[in-house]
Amino acid sequence: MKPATSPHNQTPPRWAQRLLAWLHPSDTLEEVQGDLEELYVWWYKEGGHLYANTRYLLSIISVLPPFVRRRQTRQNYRQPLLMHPAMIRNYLKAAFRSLSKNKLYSLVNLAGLTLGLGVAITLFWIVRFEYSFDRYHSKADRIYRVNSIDKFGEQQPHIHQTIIKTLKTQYPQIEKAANLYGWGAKTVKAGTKIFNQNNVFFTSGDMFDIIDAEWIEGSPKQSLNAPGNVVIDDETALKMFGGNAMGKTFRFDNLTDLTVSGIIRKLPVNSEFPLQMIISWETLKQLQPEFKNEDSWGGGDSMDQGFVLLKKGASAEPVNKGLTSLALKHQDDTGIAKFVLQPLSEMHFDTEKDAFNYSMSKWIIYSLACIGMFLILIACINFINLATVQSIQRGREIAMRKVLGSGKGQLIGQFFGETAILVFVAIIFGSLLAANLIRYSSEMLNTQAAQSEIWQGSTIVFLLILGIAVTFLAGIYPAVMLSKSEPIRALQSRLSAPSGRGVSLRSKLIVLQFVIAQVLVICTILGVKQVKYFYNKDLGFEKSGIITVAIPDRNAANCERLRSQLMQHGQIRDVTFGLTTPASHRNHWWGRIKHHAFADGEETFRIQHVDTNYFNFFHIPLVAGRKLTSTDTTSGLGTSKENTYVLINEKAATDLGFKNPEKAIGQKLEIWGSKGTVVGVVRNYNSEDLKSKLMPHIYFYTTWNLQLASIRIDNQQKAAALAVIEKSWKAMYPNYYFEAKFLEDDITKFYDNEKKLSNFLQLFAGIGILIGSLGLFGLVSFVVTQRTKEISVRKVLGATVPSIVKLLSKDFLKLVLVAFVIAVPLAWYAMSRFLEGYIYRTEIEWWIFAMAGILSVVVAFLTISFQSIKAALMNPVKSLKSE
Amino acid sequence: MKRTNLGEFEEIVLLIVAILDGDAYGATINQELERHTGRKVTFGTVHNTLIRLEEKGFLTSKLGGATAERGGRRKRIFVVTALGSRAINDIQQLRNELWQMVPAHFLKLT
Repeated sequence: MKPATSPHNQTPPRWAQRLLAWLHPSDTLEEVQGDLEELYVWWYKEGGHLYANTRYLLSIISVLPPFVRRRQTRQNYRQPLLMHPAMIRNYLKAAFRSLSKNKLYSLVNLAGLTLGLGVAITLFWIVRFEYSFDRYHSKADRIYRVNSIDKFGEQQPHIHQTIIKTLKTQYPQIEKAANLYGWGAKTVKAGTKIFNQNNVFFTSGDMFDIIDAEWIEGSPKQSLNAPGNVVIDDETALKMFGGNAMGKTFRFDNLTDLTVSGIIRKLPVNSEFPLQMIISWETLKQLQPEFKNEDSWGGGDSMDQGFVLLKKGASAEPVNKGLTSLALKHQDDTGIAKFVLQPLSEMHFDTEKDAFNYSMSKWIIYSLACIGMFLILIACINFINLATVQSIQRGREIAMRKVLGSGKGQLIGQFFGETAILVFVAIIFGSLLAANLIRYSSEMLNTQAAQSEIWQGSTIVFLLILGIAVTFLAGIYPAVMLSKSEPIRALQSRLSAPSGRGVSLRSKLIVLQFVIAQVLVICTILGVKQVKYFYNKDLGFEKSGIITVAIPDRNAANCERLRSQLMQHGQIRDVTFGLTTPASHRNHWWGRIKHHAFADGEETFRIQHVDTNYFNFFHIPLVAGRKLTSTDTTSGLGTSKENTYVLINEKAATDLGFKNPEKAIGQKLEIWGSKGTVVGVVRNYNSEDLKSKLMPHIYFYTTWNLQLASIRIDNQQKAAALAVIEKSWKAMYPNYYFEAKFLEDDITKFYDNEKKLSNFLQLFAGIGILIGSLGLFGLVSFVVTQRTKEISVRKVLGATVPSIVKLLSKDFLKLVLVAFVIAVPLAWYAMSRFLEGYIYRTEIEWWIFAMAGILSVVVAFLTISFQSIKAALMNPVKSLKSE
Repeated sequence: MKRTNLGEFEEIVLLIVAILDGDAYGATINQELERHTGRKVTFGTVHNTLIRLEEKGFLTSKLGGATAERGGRRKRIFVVTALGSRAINDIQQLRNELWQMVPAHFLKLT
């Protein structure tokens, strides 16, 4: 063969060798290097230096990629399928065994996940429901509500019929346009039976060409054309006539007779159009002749709104522009500065306008979604913490699997599988929990989600996505950590202590959990405090012990008769009549008052019609001038007479430019084309909820518009008083539906949203803390088992129970405190942003934070001490003798 | 007859491995090839052909022990498998049969 050593000059160029070593596939490199070296020597002998180099280089190029063929690794062992049934059975068995071996951890894990996921699923249903509003109309993307904004920047609630007529006749882009006028609840009398009918509306047939409804009898074209026509839904038909209602007649509000000319299927709950009784627009024209006028621009009711259907492909912008310029021409009549067509999809989220059904602001929905995600996050953190501590115990199983040939991917798959089992079990329990929770959602939040179909296809999709996402979130860290562990270490030592990094990650996660929980707690306390503040704030008038009943016929003589009848009874203290009580959302009359002192020459005032007893009754003091007397009628209004005497409130006086209310006396105000003279000023009070600013008021003494009786009763004899009122009222108004309300309840209702939201927050905070402490509980119990021997040795050496409890609790409590330090500024920022939205707001006080801190420390301490005291009380002999 | 899937160059390499009988590795195969056929081949061609033949199952290989020569690098020794020897036998048989069929006067000319 060849000489063992070759002369120095017989070696191939170094760089070529390096090139080969660098680029040639590593598995055949050694043999190829050897072969080429041998060949080089041979070539050298055959043809000398140049020849050998040339051939060597050519050969090297021929064994470099892409020319070289790669040797395929020979499979000595055929890997069984990862998803082989036997392996799956093994995985399931291992999962089941490890779950049942650590019953406590599994339970804690499952409970935490179930709680978190259950609430998250409920929130999903609510959010989905709120977003589904009015999506079902077949032309939904072309339907718009006509909105107007007045020159003070306020949304004007109503749309005048003249605008609808203009839209219909002058805009080719508009396919249909209609007014929809909601009248709320009215009395109806079918035969001898009297009902309180909710959701009464006036509109024309065009409205049903805009929105979708299923007609059982009649049609949009024919059923709403003539005066006296009414369409009802099947539910109302059943209620009033026990079934077949077509062609039947009933008495409406003791005003007119209506004949049923059509029946529709009850509209879905997720609609802003809860139309149950639809009366033809022609009927309205007869009942209120001002609606015949389709040329003027003034007047209107906030529940009278306008809807349009644009033609396909038409844009809303030209309509906006046209209407706006038209409105500017009629400035004197309207005061409207701008018209905007609002897409139907935004209608449900617009809380500024009066809603036919109810509206929900987007920030609430976003907060719900955020809270849901936070809860899922807390539950996942729990899972991660518990899984990582368990991983130490499972170290040997993993080591064994690795030794027997399990790959890393396979192990990761196995642990993901185990997580998935737990997560999907939790999802099943969680959705059962959610199905129960959703029933209470209307008490927690202003939503009707409970009435919707919750088990739709999208729920299944959501649950699947949720399951996969949570499995991934909760499973990734434990799976990667576990599969990384080194078999030798796990098999060598009996107990491998958790590595330093793992501990710090767990600590971070615990801190994060408690930060979230504490922020929720602080927000909750503040929310509750704000609601309490609303309830207890002095509104500027007396509100307790007052019952209100409607006066249906606005007849002053009847009012007086009712008053005298009521006053005969000892339970009744006092009676007054007015358009509304001092604080009321309903029947809010307003008008533009002209006076030269106003910036624009005019300002919007709230109008209140009162009797002479009104201010006495509500304990609203006069700060200047005199009260109204029965001679100060508004009979002069609308004529050229100037004998209208009015009262205003302090806010109005300041707006007029008088710091001293006395100075406002005698001022002439112009309203609706006639003059009024200020004769007195009353103190300010909050006539709306405390979320709104004080409004300037103007008060008239009238007899024609007293719509509500307020009755002060003896609080000790509520039931008797109510009975007396009902008897007298029914005797006076036999054809109307009696409904008495407490003024305080009405005022409380202003804050329903806040109240419900604070209920919701309480639930979330509770669950947040609960899940957090579940996780802590699991962790502590693990640490205690890990340190059993240490504790025993300490005890033997004379440690006391308190010192051991302290030893075990200290670290965890420290984490809770760190969380508190982080949570405080976060919560403070969130809360100050939240409170900015309120004009009347409670203070953010230090004790709120202190309370949240103490609460979480106490909860954490209780959780920890249960386990640590148990450990400290254990007999050391037991754990020391078993080795 | 079943056709053995073997190219001309592959056949020659296979035969050379058989000739070398236990001493067949990259360098020797390359040298023998050049010596007997007189054509110059780049080493890559031989290398790739060996791998391909092994994949087809006509050859098997294993790394030999460390050697004193060539910097202590191991050699990959190739051996013809049973399938491989049947393949070259088949080819030879086929050629023989074909030769028999060639008319006699043809052969005389050459």
